[in-house]
Amino acid sequence: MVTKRIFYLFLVIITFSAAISLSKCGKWGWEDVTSDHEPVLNVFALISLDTTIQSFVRVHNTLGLEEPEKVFVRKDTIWYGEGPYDYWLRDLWESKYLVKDAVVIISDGNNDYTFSYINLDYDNWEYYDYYRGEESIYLDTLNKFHPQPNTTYFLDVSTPDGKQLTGEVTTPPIPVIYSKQIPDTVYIRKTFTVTWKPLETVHSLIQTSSILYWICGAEQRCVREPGDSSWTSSIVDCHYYENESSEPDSFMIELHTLDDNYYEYFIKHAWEDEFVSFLLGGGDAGLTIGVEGGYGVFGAIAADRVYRVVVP
Amino acid sequence: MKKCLPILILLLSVTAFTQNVSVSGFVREDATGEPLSYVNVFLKGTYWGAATRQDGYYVIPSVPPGKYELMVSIIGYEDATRSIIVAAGKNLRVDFRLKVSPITGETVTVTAERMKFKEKMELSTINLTMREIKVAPGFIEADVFRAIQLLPGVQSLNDFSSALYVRGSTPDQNLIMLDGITVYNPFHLGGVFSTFNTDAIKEAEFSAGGFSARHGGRMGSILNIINREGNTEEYTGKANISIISSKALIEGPIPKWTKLKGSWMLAGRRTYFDKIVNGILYFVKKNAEKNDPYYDENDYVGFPYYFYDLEGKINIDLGNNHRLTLSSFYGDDVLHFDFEDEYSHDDPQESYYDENKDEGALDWRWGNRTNSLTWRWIVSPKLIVKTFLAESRFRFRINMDDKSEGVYIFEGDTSKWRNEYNFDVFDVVKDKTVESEITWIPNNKHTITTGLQHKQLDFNLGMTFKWGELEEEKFVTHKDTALWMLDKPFEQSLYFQDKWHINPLFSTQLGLRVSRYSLHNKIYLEPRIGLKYLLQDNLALKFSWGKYHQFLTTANPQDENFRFIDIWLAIPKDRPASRAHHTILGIEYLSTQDILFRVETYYKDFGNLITLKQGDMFAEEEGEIRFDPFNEFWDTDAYAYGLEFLAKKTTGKVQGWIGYTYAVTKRKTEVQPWYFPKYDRAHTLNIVGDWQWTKRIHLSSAVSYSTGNPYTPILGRYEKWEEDNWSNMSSWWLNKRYLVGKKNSARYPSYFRWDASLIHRKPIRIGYREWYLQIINITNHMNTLMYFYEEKYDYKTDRSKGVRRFGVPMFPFIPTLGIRFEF
Repeated sequence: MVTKRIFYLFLVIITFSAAISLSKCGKWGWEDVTSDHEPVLNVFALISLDTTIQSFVRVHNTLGLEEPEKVFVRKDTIWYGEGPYDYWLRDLWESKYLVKDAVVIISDGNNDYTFSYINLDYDNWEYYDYYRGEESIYLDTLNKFHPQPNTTYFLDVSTPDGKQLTGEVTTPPIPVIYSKQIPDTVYIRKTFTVTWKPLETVHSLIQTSSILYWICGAEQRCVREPGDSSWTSSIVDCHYYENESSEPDSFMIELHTLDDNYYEYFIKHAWEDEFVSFLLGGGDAGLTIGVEGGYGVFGAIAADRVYRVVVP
Repeated sequence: MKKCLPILILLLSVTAFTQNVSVSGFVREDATGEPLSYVNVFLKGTYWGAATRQDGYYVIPSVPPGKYELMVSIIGYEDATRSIIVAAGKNLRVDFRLKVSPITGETVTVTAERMKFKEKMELSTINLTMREIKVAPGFIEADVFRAIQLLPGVQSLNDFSSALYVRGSTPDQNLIMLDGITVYNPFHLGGVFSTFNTDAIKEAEFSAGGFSARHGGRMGSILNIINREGNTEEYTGKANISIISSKALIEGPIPKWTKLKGSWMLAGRRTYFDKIVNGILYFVKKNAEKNDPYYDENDYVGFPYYFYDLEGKINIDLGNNHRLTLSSFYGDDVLHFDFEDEYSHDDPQESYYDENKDEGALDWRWGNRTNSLTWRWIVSPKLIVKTFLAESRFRFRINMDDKSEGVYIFEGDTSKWRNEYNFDVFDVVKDKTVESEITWIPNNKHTITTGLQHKQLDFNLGMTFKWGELEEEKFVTHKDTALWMLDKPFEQSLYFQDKWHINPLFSTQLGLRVSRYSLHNKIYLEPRIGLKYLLQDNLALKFSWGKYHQFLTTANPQDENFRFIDIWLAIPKDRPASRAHHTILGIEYLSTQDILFRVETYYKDFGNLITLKQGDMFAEEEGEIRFDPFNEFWDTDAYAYGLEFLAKKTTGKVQGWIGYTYAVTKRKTEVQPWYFPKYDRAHTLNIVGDWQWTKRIHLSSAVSYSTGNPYTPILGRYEKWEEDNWSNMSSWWLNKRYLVGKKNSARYPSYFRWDASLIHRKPIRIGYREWYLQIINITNHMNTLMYFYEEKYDYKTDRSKGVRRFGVPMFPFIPTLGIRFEF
């Protein structure tokens, strides 16, 4: 009898304490996160000796944890017909990462070249697209900046609120593909070899692609070590892919030279995470290559390309 | 074995020429025949005596001829005395069978704890009895690993993991053995449960560091689970039913008709949550089939997971001096489900008809298999040879299949199609061990142990894709091996140690282990030193130093919260073996009430560790991008130090322990300066109590408090510039990421958990019945496993307002009710 009573008493105590604790103990649920992080600049500056890409500087900043990622700008009306109801309204937002009022100067040691902010026009549907609207771009609008190979350039980015970032890069040599050694017609089911003037000091990136249609096996990409001067294509297993066209297409072979900063940031450290969580994905302490005073990269590339015909 | 022979002959000849007379034998429990360890066996009125070993064997060497009273004493059993006559030159064998004493505790002065205190040279060693394992709260059911997690020096990653992090060592640095056989991944359900069925366990011996030269191949800790030998007298059994699993154990003597002497034990366990869910589902489906016009069988998915294990042991005594023990274990976790779908389209207007079938399966199994054969030969009372053959295998395999086929008819033309895909990931570790150990007790002062071990390992890690399709009415298959790492190294070790009682106050244990690892073709020397000085009869000062090497590792990301499986790899050819130095200083005091007080401080220095480059799922080699996540490592350095306190009471109605640990562990990799690993907890306090309240009611409770585990805090947000690899180069994009602070530089809130259980045991006609109620986390304290972050939105205005986080909790308040039967 006593045993039973004790047993029931134990049950009651446990249940009671559990009920209390369920309602009071511990911090369950969402909570705000704060940090004392002071935003700094995060820049991607590229000096391009590739005639198809204009040199640019993209200036962003980091954000703390308390502020929003984007701010509402206004409503925008998109008309898609003549009728009174042929429209839809969209919200225009602006990323808080963007820095629009920076002073961006690239110098070769003798001359300073000012890069100006390009205002993306929200109303110009053709020009504005979602991805570019998320970025801020500074360009040499006066077209005075003509970078040279094997030359050291300096970057200086400053903002009115006192943030400053500097950087340094040495441009790579302009690659030269030995185009005569590449056949006029490339067969995708056969290998072909591309050779170029040896590049002793820099990494290079060779890329191929068809121009009009997607052809399985036409898109190939390979990073080459300093000193390499040739590359042979691979034969890709295309059992599960259907080409967009069975007709021959134009075929582009590009060889880029990459300065050390560009190689380190975009190739060597591209997939490294210092922080990995099963549910949250990755994070890092911010990658900084070739710049000081913030995050990002000051890189340079040069290119040569040849065109051929590819047979699927 | 050939190398051993000269040593054996030498030892035998030394023994033969000696004039000493030995009194030896076994001490066993009368009712079950189980050997009793650390029993005090002594000659009354003299200083000669000995303690039994783990297998119940004792030897008192160098006894002069004469008449004696041989006494045996251990708490919980009736004392036994035998009158013996020791004749010159004739060794005497005296076996004892002790009856359980109706009086427990105070009347008997000699306890196993006292004998352990006297005999044990090693520091940091704790034996947990079956009772201690059973009363320490586990999750749903008692678990040996959960009990060990409550000891000083041992830390856990979280509630979901029963893996042991010992004095800065990771779980792969623990040598976990079942009856001496290495077990590689001793967990079920991703670490929630250990592989070992507590009903089958007799005792667990755990050494947190400074272990002797007998053990090698790991540099963290040693856990040896010793299973019951089986009842030599009668057939008995146990059955246990809880909410998720059932267990059963039967044991008994070897049948007389075999004319063999010995015992056997067989234990098994299986979870049946899958059966319960599927049983309920059967009726739900029946009902839906009748009443739901849109009934689709594929909408009802059962519970696809279960685990089971089965273990057995047979002991055969061949005369007085030979024993063969066969031990086996087989356990698997199984996650399996199938799916099947059939559909068709009929469009008479377009003259079109098709018929399709899709079926597939996921089969994921992981588990251990061990087999061993031990031959113990008592060559002479002072010379025991143990030869051991063992095979251990851990494997996991994820196999995914998908088969789809169909036929379509368009304007009278019939075409067929068929596709098959198969994805297979596997990791298999095989370990074959041959070991021979000789123990020689030449006199009261020396116990010499030497042995030879050969371990053949086989690591096989791979990932394959297979696919096939119908091409012009012919089924063509393809295979791609995305990853395959195969290594077959071997380890050879020779060890020697001497436990030397220099004088009644001072003892040493000096040992050397010499190892060879085939991939390195190098000899590794591992000296081990143990010193013990008795300041008083019940106060001992101990010191231990040793060098340890390890030739294998696991390639699991260091920051993972859940470890479903271990991916074992051999230390590669081009990397040195990992090593650790243990330096331990401790003081032990055994009170008159048999409460053991122990304070230990340690410093552990690691070298040549490797850490998987987590996050690097792809690597670049010769300009090509390849998927290769398991063999890219960072060189790693680490150290650990700490101070531990233990007060443990193992007799009386109230038993338990209080353990406090102050520990610091730091690691450093090529890319990270010194940081606290994820399992580091500076302060840990565990109080475990077990109270036999009445004859029928048993209460136990455990309270754990510790500093929160470290984590990497997020400080801000930024955008990483990324290059679009698969289009032309003038394309870059932004990848939004968290900007994190220094690795593991913040800590979760302190951990606190209070568990309790109540057992009500009642005799029934066939034996005993036990009801048990267990409550985990009585206060429902929120212990944070990790934080989940997200952008905070005001959904009324659709405005972003910064970042918020959600603490993912560990175990909440969980009550469990179960029943056990013993017959």
